[in-house]
Amino acid sequence: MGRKKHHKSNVPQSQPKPLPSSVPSASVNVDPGGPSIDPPPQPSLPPPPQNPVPPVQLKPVKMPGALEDPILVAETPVLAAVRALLRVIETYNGSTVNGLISELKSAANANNVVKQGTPVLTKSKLAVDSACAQFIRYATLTLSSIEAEDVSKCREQMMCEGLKYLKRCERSIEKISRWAVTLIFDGARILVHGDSFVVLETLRCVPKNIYFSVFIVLDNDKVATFFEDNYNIDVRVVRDAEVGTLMESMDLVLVGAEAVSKNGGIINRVGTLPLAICSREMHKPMYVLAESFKFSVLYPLNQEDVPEEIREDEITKRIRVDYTPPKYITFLVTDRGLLTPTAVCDELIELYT
Amino acid sequence: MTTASKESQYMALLQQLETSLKRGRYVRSHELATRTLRLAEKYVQSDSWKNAEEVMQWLENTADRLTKAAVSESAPSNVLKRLIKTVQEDFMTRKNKGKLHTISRLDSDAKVDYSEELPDLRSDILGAILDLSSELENGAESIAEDAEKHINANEVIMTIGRSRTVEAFLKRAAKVNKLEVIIVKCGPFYQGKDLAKILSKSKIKTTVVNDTAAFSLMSRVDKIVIGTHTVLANGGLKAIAGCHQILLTSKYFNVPVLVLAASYKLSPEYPFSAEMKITNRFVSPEELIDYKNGQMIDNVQVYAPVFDYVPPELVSLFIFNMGSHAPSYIHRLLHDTYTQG
Repeated sequence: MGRKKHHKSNVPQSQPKPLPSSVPSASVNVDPGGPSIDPPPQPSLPPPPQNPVPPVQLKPVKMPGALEDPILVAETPVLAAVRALLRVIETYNGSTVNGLISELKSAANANNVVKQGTPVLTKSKLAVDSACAQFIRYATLTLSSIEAEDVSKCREQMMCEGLKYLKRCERSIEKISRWAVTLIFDGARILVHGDSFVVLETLRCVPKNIYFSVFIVLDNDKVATFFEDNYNIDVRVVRDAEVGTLMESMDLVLVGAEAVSKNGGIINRVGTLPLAICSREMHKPMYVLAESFKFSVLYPLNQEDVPEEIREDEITKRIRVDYTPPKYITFLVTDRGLLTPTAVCDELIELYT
Repeated sequence: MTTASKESQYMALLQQLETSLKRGRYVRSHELATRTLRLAEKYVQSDSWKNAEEVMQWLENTADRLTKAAVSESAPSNVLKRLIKTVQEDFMTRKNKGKLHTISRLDSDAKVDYSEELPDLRSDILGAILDLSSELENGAESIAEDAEKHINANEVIMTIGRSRTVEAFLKRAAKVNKLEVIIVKCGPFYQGKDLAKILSKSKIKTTVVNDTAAFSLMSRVDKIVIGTHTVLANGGLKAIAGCHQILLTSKYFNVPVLVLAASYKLSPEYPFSAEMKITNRFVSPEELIDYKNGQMIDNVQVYAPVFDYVPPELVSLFIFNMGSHAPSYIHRLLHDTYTQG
């Protein structure tokens, strides 16, 4: 049984996306919806790359008009998914708002179909899900105040709200690093779990006059070159098993998250839970850096409650993620500010009302 | 009064406040808050500003200035930062008069132009300052109003040091129920003794103990009621030195801890960030070792810190003048009181 042949999209997916001018381009081709008898459009997904995953590209983005200094926007799967949804709105030529919403929902579902996903895509699956759900929520939030005969006004409004959401998502890492940088002091010893992009990027943004050392828990040496330009950071890669012995000399623990559950707990790479328990036992603060689009409606009560397709790796059947309850987390650093785990519920209520 | 004299009025007040902070003539947070509020009132009354943006800029700059003058005092900057939020809200209400408008926090990215000149803004802000100042005046009383809810008959209450808010609270409770108070003297300043005199004048059965006796008595205590200097943004406290160890004891015996704090004590600062460390104040250690033992202390260093950090896990309930809340709810109060950083 050979490898399934995926039909290639005509947009290469591992190169940096072209600068958005008025409408962000997407990496996913979506057929504009035709008459209702046609089956809903199936967005074609980029094929999994055959080579090792290239590191996430970063480039300065000059947003037209609004900002003075260019902000660094990472091309993450979530941003690509949100841009795809914007494209759906832009190219919709049906006549009902309901039709548009259902197309958005099916496009969001299509993001779920990650057959033989690469590690990057699988890691972002939960985030993409919750980001799409939030996007649809925001886009349709203010529709009731519009009284219009045709669907184009509604489309414009949804487009406008959607663009605002996209901008928020793009700026979220910058906001997080602004908050998180205040937690890192001179001479700090930081234990980092996994290669979360948000965490690594934040550490890179710490001012160069603060010298600190980072101990990254990874089973490979992928991050070796990430901090090349930062001479103020001392990096050491450690194994999971060394965490216990190292914890007493650490000052703080930093992790990212794949998703933030409703009660303020997180779902993250396996090994986060023992790390969290260890840090609590030794009274070290644990900070979670997560963008607000990762806030999901999941509410696991125990490890079994994490959905199986997320929890287990498809091919090797090993456990990929675990759930860390909120009591082990000191703060969540999000683009909405420093939140205690109990505040996540409040934020979610605000997001969805 | 002429414009110039109004301006010189608030400048003089600001100088006065700054100097007394710098010189270490520290007064109670309550007085600091009132003086700062009066300063802000003078500024708003003067003609030195044209629009909301200038007011907010002045408030921010003055808050920074006063914090620099005395780093360990947070009351002045809390009051001014609270006013910033009030000015924003007043501006939005004025601007959108008649229109239904909710400031969604998400739209905080949308730049609101505060430099628009609105004619009635001055009276709005002055009204808000008036509300705030009456809230300051009646702070201790409104907290004490809840006393009967929290203290039952024949209870043994422990308190640490001397807090005027706790004093009012216990006096009010004693009017309704019979209670017994154990006061921990709290070295090295032993202000607990003064509280004992006052409470006994109100015919409340009082016992004074040393800090070291707290553990042995804790099993007999029903509740702990304390005041604090500052409530930090994570729900922790900056309280008088000695609080942390006594509250650890209370945790061991599962004694509930009620913290009474007026709203100007709530600070938007988080502890243990690189910029904001828990700023402590060190005063003369004369109480610890006499100057006449000067020869002995040649090779000895003596410190007398004033404050302690208490983590939020050790507090059961906060009683503010706007209601009682759990420590995990502080983020909500912060959101309502201060603008997002």
